[in-house]
Amino acid sequence: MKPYYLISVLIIGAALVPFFAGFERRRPTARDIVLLAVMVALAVASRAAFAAVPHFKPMAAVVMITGMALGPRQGFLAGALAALASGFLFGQGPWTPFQMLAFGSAGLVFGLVGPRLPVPLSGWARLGLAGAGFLFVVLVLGPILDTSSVFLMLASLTPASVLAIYGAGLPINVIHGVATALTLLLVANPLLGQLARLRTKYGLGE
Amino acid sequence: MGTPPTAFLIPVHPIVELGFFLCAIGLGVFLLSPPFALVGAGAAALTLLLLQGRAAGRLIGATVPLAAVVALANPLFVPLGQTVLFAYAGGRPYTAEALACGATVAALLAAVLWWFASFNRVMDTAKLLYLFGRFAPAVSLTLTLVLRLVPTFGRRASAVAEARAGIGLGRGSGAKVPAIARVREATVVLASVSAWSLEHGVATADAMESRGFGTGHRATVPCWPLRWRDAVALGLMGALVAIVVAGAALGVTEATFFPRIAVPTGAPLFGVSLVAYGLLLLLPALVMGRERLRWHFSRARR
Repeated sequence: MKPYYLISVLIIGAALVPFFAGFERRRPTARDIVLLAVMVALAVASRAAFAAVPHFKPMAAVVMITGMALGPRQGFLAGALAALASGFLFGQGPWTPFQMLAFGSAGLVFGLVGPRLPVPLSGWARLGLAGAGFLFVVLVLGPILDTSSVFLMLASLTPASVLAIYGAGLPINVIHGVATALTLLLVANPLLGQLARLRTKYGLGE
Repeated sequence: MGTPPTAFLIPVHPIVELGFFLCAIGLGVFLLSPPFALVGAGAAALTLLLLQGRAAGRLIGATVPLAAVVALANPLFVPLGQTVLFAYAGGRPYTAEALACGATVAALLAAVLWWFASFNRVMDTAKLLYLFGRFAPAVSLTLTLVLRLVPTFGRRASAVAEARAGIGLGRGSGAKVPAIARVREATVVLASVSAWSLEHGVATADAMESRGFGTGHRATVPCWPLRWRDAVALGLMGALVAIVVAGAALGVTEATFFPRIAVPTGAPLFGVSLVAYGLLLLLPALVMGRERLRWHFSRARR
């Protein structure tokens, strides 16, 4: 047995530090901080808007939209902080570092492609975005979350046991992916429009 | 948030509490040996019980099935080991050694979950932001704002939903409403809350700016003095961790399971390391137990 969990958490910590240190070093203004905080809080609170739909988790979609509007660095921060903040509200656990990495990477990746898309998105662009959101959750974000279970719950890492954990996570990740795709399809345009308006009106989020 | 945390029953500096949980959880996932895992799980359960009482009993009970699955599943994936308990599916062995290996990991998992439950009870956001506010002021401020905004946004979401229902636009949440209609309705609510909150946020930021945000030293509302007993606790924890880590460096915290279970009980530092580890993990439990006893006897005397 090897301390895979400890090693993976240390690696995740090393990956998170540059983003947080960079944010501190940029000396963000009050507007930058509040804009980021509003988007993070919106991502965390979005679950409340969907209280009528069971198992619907829209947080990843809001983080992806934040990344598209504010760029990859802010997108990663938004995802990592959203995971950390929901940990504060619903309980931290051994999965918190993995959640920070998973949601942060969602903001990062969509922040890399997002700024090139013209707002409002056309019908095809929205469909493509929804598809990309679904694939990202099922192939990247969900498996990162499942990795914490792999390292914590498996005494022996064999191909069969690792596959069993990822396989058990797949249905949950598909549901999560569908929720993300639907949210992106329906919320991306209004939210990106609002953020673009803030940019032209106040020069925010550049 | 909510009820005030009962932090070890006596006021200590948050750095002591954070340091304790970092050591307990960090060593817990590092020392992969049956005796250390058992000590860890026992201390974690005892600490949680002293902190939360009956609620802890429920949580501990809820962890047992998960731990049992973790322990019982391991032999299905690992057919190694000398002691075959039974064979299944055409002669595949289910061994005691693989079961012990799984049980060790199950104990580690349970200990980590219980330490986190205690952590969530003791370390509230005020303490963590107090500790990290100096190193990461911008991130801490962002988190503070987020934790204040999330409940606000929840209230705004229900206000928007109610208003829409009032003008006959909401679709309600009855069982007859199809899921996709509910999702559509929720996205309208979400977009309304975001429009409301983004504009409001700019006003908040400008208000912060005009009141001198970022112009001087920022103080935190709560402040904890670093007392002598905090320094003593930190020193004691550091010494105990050093003993355990020294033992780990010599290999006494390791165990081999295959082909047969072997724990280096004969190694010179084994007993010392195990006792140091147990003492480290029981520090808060000992402090709490002492306070409980004092309280008990002071009432009895009256």
